[in-house]
Amino acid sequence: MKHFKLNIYKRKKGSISKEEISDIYISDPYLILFYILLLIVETTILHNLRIFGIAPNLILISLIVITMFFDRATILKSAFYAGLLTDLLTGRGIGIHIIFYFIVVLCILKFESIIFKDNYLPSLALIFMFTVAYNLYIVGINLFGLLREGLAYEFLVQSGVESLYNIITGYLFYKIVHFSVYGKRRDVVE
Amino acid sequence: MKDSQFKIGIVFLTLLLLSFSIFMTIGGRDRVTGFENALYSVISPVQEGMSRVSNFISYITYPVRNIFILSDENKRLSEENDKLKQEVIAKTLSKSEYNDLKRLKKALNYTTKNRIQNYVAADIISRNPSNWYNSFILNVGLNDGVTVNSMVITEKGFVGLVYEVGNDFSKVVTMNDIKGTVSFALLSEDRIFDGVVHGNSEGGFEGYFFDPKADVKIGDEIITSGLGMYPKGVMLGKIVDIMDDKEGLLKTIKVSSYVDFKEIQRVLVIPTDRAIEETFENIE
Repeated sequence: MKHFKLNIYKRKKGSISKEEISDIYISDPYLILFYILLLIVETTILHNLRIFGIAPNLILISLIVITMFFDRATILKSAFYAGLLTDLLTGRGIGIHIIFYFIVVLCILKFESIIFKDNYLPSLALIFMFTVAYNLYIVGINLFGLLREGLAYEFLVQSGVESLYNIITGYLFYKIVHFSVYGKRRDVVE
Repeated sequence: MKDSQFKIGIVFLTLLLLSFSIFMTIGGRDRVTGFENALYSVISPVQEGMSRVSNFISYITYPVRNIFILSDENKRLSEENDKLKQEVIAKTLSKSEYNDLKRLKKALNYTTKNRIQNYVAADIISRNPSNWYNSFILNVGLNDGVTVNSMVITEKGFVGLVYEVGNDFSKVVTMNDIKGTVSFALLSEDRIFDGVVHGNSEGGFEGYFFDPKADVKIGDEIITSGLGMYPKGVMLGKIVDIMDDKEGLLKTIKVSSYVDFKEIQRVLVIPTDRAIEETFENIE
């Protein structure tokens, strides 16, 4: 992941300004490779790590964390690649995830100015919010196929457990990305 | 002003294109694009390898992970149950049909894909990450004779149908996504009743008997009858609810499957006759 345009920041002292954060990018091949690897892990290994039959949504988590660290172009391309690859490799209709992930990043970018990006808590709040939204979106699209007695209760339980699982995984993911971007620097507000 | 109108136009156009794409692909496709085939040819070996490692680790840690639910006892009872079910089927069907089923079961023991006449044994290489679906991808495709609508089974019964197929992979949907009907027969020596079922959102089946006065009870088992696209004798499940409609014209039932979708790793694919015919027509 050395393709981050970061080395210049590692030598700087003092906290990094928002302008500098928005200048960090990942090039396209690395981005595509990253999402392919993430999808492979999600479709093979995570199945065996389910808690109450529920697995975390690594793609959604990574997308939200990426919006906290990288520039606009990287964020928008992430949404496109993540959505396209998810639809191609696992999806039931090409476009379903592209639309959702675009909505996620556009919402975050729209309210960028009021989101405090120098701390992990906003990421976790966004992960919670968009996990519930994702479940709502999938249920909405497949309402005919999923309609059954107790669906509302199942939705609440599933969204709750998945949110919790996503928040824990999101925290770890945030720490890893933070470390990859800033190294061991302690002067960067976390 | 013009800039914002342009952006709105782009967003609108993109949404329109994506909606069209979803509409065209959501019901599954007979053939996937060359790009998807190329993508899968690179990714599926990695997925297959990782799946095997993950499943192996899961298998050896199973007793530890399930220590509080008496996993061994559960497994023994499950095996005994399967054996009893096979005995019932063996007694009900003719000997030649039973031999067919035994061959199917034997084929499941193959560790790699292995085509036996029209039956193809396959491994699950990846699963849909969404918690709302049970769909998965197999390591066999057109090159192995698999076609759209091929039936997917395990030794415990009907699992689902192939809805999209590439050269070396195929995507399978389970009961809650199956919209078509499957004809069934009651698994009984003396009570000959049949009907049709379709998949329901609970991962089982719903349907009705042709005879509204059919003598059935909760706990009875049903199998495919052989009418229509699918072969005879595949276990569909156990009747868990029976309802008579208001006019008394139909006896509707709810059926629960024996298959645990979260646990299956290897399946058998049976290309349907109709699907085979269509493939030949396409080739010609």
